[in-house]
Amino acid sequence: MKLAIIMPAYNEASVISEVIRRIPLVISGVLEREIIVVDDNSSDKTAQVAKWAGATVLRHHLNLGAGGATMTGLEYARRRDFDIAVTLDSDGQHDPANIEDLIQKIIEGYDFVIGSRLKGKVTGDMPYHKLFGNKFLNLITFMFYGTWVSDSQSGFKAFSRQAMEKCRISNVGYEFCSEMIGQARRAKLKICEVPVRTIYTSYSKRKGQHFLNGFNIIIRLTLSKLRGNS
Amino acid sequence: MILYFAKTLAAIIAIFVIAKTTHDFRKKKESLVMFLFWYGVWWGVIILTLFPQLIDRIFGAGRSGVNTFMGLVIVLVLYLSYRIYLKADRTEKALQLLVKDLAIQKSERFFKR
Repeated sequence: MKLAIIMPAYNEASVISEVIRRIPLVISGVLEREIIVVDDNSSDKTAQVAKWAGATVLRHHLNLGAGGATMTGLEYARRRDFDIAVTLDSDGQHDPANIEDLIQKIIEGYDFVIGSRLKGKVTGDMPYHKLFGNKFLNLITFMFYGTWVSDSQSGFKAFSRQAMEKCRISNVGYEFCSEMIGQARRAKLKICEVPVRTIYTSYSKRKGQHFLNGFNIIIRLTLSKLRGNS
Repeated sequence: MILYFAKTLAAIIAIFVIAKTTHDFRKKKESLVMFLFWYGVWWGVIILTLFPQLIDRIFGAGRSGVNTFMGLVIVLVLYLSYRIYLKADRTEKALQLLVKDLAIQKSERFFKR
């Protein structure tokens, strides 16, 4: 199996090499793996640092947002015939050791696996406002797309080849997470969640979504629905 | 009661837009001229929302069909906003496609070498 590990990145020069270094070299069931960093027009040296750390770097000439960068990575994986793709945040909040747990679910026959920070025993110290924001956006995702998941905004996901083909989102901001869940449901893909460890550092807390961004997400999802894109 | 609610809501929206314009200007995303223009426009909106009798004073209510004129202007502005939104949306989508394709093509050229 060929695995693409996609890392959307924006101004992560200070941490990205460490995150890449922590990705396991050997993953059970995987013959070939490639780390793809999608640099979303960073103003620092994210692209250079990622290249030195051994990743393939795709660079956006304009800043599109987390959704845009994820879609570029998935498009690259589709064109280069990868069997599985995993998306992972570049700020170090996800533990790369959990990649194997997500991959195993794909090998078992699931198409779309969400690495949930809120399923089972919550590890790490997710701030209360983020916890509330995430639960609120789970509800919004359910209202828009009729699918209940415990962590709709997680950037840690795994896609089967079929999921890569079917999930072609139109939103480029953080709202892409909810839209993707909607598309997976519409395409009748097999969805599951796997609990993952979250590493909250002062850096990753600072880099996460702002609480008020939840309202932006609702507005964009509504517009997207009105346009018939999702 | 409804009138007070509408006034407050309109003022809050206007203040939100002013804050956003100021933020964009500070981040150098907007030019000084555009910043001053929108700043003026939205402060005007706040003042007219809170003191609607000013419209009558400026235009002379009941004498020149100004209410009909203002209604037409609002419809025209809404229509123009809609057209601009559509155009911006299409341009944004086209740009997104270009940016993604360019990023992938560059890496593919690298692999062919």
